[in-house]
Amino acid sequence: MPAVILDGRKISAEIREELKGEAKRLKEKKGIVPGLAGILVGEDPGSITYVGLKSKACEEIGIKEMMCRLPENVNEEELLKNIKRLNQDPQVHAIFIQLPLPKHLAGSEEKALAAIVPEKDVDGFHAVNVGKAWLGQPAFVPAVAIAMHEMLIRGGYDIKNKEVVIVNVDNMVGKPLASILVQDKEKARANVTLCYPSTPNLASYTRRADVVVVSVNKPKFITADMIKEGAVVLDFGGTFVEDPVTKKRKTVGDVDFEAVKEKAGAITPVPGGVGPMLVTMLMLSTVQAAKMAAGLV
Amino acid sequence: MTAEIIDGRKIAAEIQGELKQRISRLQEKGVVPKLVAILVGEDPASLSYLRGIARSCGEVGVLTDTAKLAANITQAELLKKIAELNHDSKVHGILLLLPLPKHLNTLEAESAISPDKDVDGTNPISAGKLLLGEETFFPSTPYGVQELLVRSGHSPDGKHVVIVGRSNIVGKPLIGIFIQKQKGANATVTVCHTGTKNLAEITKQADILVAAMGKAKAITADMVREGTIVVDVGVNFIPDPVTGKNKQVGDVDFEAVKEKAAAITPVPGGTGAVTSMMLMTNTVRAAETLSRK
Repeated sequence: MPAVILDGRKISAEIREELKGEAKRLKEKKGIVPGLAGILVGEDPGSITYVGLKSKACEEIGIKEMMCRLPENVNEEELLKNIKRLNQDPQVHAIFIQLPLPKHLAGSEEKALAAIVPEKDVDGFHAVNVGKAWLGQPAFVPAVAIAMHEMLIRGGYDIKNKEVVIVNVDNMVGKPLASILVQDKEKARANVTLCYPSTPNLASYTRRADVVVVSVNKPKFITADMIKEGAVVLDFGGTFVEDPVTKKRKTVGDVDFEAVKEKAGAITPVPGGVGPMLVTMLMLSTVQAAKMAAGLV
Repeated sequence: MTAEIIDGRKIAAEIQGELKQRISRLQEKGVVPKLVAILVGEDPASLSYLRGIARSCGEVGVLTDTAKLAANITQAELLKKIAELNHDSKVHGILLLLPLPKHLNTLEAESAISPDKDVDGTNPISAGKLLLGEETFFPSTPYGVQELLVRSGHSPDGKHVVIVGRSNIVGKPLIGIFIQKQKGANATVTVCHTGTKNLAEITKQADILVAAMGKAKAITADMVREGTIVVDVGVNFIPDPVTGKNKQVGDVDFEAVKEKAAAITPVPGGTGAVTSMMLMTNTVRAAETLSRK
């Protein structure tokens, strides 16, 4: 029996509808429009595309977008000055920096991200947000983790008491997701195992899991014999490969999709799974930030 | 086959010896590590904990002072005191004794302690850095668990560690410590809790089982696989069936489990003994770092 396909585009659209309603209510009841400020340095085509997606989403939902476009050759001082300005702007509730920065600023990335005040650190990068989330306090959490959590909840998967095995313990996916799932709260209370791809006998852990989360960038890392019948599989892998038949380049995840989908209960495809959720999660966190500023959270 | 009993007091004494040497070297530079405990009101548990800290400081050679504040102070006054201590160059470690009186905001107070002096690792910034794998002070109880395992020859490297309990003070920081890509860590970590339905199934998977739930004798022999290393962080007071007096027991049914485990920590005399030395270790490290600036 093939698995339920967790369609990131569909779930993303549902969430955007809800956010539209929330933004409208915020405006009508409190006169607040959620504001998202983004910093874009230079003209990298990939970055421009991503920023375009974020702009479109803001427009759709009713979030005010304030893009700060800086020339390619801007220096660190100027960059930090602009971040400071956005920190102090009361219309801005959330700030993101479109990465990567141009080569001459590569060494300033960490400094720039750290310069965003924690209350507007929508990507959840700051140690204080990581700590608060971990301790069960309201805080920003990285988008991939929120996306996966939303997919589980909205898919009707009650994770209370379930065994969740997360393969790869990184700061963008594994640890933030563990942070959400381990809490003694509604929609959490899972039994979480954190493994590395190099964990000895990894399959013995994944085979016990009700939910397997993988983010290792290794095609076909998770094979059918590594999961139990009916498991939910969340795949954040993304490797560019050449299709052997069409010779065209395409993105694949970490899961042997064709084989695993016959055994899993539910699975996120790549592409079309977690990826399409990310821009929407940024919007969700921005609306959340506006609500916090309004004293509604 | 009875388990090896891991002697927490012996390990604490080892650590104490090393700290004395480090303090000696600091004194040559004219620096004496100083820990200030902030006490608001007169909560008996806090007073008892404070006495224990003063004792440990005395044993090792760390200066200690208590900032006594009235139970009815305002949040602003508390934050002012913390700011004062943050700026005092003779103070290396700041410890906020809990619980605070109900009208005060604990999270805000903990967030006000400078990360450089947050020797109990309670500031959310410290908790965040721990999870991110950045350098920070580990809270003393989980730090003690790591030291105890490493020093007794049972390092978690490459092992499966199962932690029962996910409190902010022990369970969660322990996860953060053991998943790090470093010696004395590098473990595969599972966290579960007393509400976990198939707890025994999970605990039996462990190479190292850490019990930190605060439930007397909740880990029984049928929950432990032959040859497991068992670390008991529980501190529970139950009446002795014979004398009727209150005695300290852990979360593990010691008598039964020791016949199955390869090694086990007793309560008392196990992790508790090491915990206070870790607060001292953090304070000495704070003094070393601050004196280099």
